[in-house]
Amino acid sequence: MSDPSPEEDQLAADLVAEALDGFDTVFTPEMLELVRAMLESELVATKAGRRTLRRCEPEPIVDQSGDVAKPGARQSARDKASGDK
Amino acid sequence: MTALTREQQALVESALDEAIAFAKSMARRFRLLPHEAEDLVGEVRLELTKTVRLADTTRDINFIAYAFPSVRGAVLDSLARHRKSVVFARVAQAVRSEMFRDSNDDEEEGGGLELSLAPSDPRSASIEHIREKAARIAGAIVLSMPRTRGDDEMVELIDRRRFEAELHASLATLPPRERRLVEMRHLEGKTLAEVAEALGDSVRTVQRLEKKVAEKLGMRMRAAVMARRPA
Repeated sequence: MSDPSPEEDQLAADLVAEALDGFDTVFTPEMLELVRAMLESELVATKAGRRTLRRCEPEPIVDQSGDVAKPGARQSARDKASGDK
Repeated sequence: MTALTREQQALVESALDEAIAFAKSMARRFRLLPHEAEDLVGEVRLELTKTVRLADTTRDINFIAYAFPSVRGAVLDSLARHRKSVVFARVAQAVRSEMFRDSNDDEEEGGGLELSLAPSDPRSASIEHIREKAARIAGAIVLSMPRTRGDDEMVELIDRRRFEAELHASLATLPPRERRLVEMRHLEGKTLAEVAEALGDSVRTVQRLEKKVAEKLGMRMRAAVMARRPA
């Protein structure tokens, strides 16, 4: 299995952070650290977890027909939509 | 110890990729030194070799799903040694009990953090699924850690006072057999074998029942967590 990309790592961290919101009143800090690491690792290091991450990725933005989205495309699409330069 | 059969070796090979990736990810998150990370990987290989001997290779099983609780346990045991953490060691025990596994995970690959997502909002569905899993972890840990006599002896993994308030409220809603199981395991500190004998069931049946109860308690815990969150 390939190493997770920084984007996959970040997405896993975001999903788990949101899921664990409120658990600091239940788990001790050390336990919370461990649970967070386990859940993030299952997302980035297993095939099932990777599929979940792929489904949660933002929709690619295509600037023009046939284009493949590139980094920054989402921002430029938003700029166009809002009329920003 | 006898050598693995060809079928067993093939199963281990099929699971190595994800198991090692999980170990490396955990090592990275806890900033282990390279030789410590290698130790985790070594433990995972060993655990798979042990686990495959318990698997029924005559059946078409998803070995990585079958073995993943053991893999988690091995990784946590190794982490516990490197960090000299009693907490991690206790959690490893709970992990090994397989109670973290979702009932639907048996057919899934790896850790089972995949779900049937509503295509309209996969992110929210994923978060909800992860949250349920965390709640089940809380339930599993309480059940796997019998209450000791004095607070000083307790290893605090969760806020017991809060959870136990939920636990006692939940007890009243459980069927008598499940309620008795919780009382024996959590309050009286009996082993699975002792509970099985008292209930007149096999250890395996009691394990299944305990998993079911942990899920119920986890759902209650999840509801309590959500209720306490600021609006």
